[in-house]
Amino acid sequence: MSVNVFAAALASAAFSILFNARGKNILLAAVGGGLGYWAYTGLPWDNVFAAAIMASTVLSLYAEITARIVKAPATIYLIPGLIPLVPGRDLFQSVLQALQGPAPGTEEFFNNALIKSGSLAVGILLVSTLIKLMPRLGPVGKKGKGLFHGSTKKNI
Amino acid sequence: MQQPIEQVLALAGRAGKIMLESGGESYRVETLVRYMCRAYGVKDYRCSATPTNIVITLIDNNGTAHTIMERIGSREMNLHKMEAVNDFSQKVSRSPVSVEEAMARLDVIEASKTYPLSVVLLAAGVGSAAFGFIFGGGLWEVATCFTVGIIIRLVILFLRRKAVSDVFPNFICGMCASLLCWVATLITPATLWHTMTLGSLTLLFPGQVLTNAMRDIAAGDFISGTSNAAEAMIVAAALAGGVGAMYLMLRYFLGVVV
Repeated sequence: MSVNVFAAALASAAFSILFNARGKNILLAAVGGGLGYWAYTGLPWDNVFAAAIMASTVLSLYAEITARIVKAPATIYLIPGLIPLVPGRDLFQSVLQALQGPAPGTEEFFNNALIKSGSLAVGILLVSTLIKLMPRLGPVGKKGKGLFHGSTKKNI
Repeated sequence: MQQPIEQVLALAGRAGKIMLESGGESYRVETLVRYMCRAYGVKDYRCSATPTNIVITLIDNNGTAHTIMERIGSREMNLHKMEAVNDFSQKVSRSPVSVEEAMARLDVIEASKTYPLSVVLLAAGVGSAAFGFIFGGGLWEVATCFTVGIIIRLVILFLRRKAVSDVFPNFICGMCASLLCWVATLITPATLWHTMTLGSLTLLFPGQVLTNAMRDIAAGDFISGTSNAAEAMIVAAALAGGVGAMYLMLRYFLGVVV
């Protein structure tokens, strides 16, 4: 399990390099990828969809908080971190099942892929919307007033 | 700081264009324009951005409207440029500089280099290998994913230069990956064909487009959100279709058991 989390972090780091991120952003994206994958597989959920919602919520929260500390767009940490969670496996399995003749598993895998993407989306939507609802959640102020200091109109 | 409104307009349009071309969300462009207007004392403005175009209208003190429309050709995710433009807009809004200097800063951002090809290929290989491992591959499977990941990246870099959208390159890459992984099962001790195909293709799944779609929808920008979501679905379908097409070909022409 922990080895897989490390592999997911490595994949996120590789992905952020492919997307031309620089310096410490690569490391921070890797931490996000590991964190998201841990929340996806490491928490005691018996339902993959709940796990997907949880994972993307944890990842989005991490990205938004990091973005406010580093003063960079949250997308920089969110996008590479989400890659290990994308339900490529289910989509792939549904194609495979479809090729093996009229197999009953096709629809199930395809539905899983769709609902998993939807679950990931729910987490992202939840956090992005909540952040927008908090009027005073801006970057950390220079005077050290903490995370809840700053104006509402920051481009994060 | 007061500047000629046409110059402010050109600056805002250019900054927004860089932001969209490097994969920023639409609502981010609108925030960018707001920053520029605040910095240069434009009180009334309108901005509408979708993934393929930006329309900005600034209204000067006499009530005359000045409009610019920017068309976005190819979009390629570039997190460095996104961060740089974002940083630029915040700095300009805090301490406005002349439009010429701001344009010069955008020149620098636009000319910023990407990683050299060797680093990009290595990252693609490592990423694919990591996914091969996550999906349960052994040493040979991981090594195959590494190699195929590099080849796939080369193919997609080549195809992206020719094609406008990501749909066709992804279809071809799906075919390439499944073929190469099948060849690997013949010439190396690796056996898990599907695991390897999946591992080397995961880097191409459009997770970034889906993320942007959701963030646009969260910001209330439904046109950008739905069109991005549709793009993500079509690209993923192309990828899956490529894999499926190659599997079918192998089965009918070579009798390979899928």
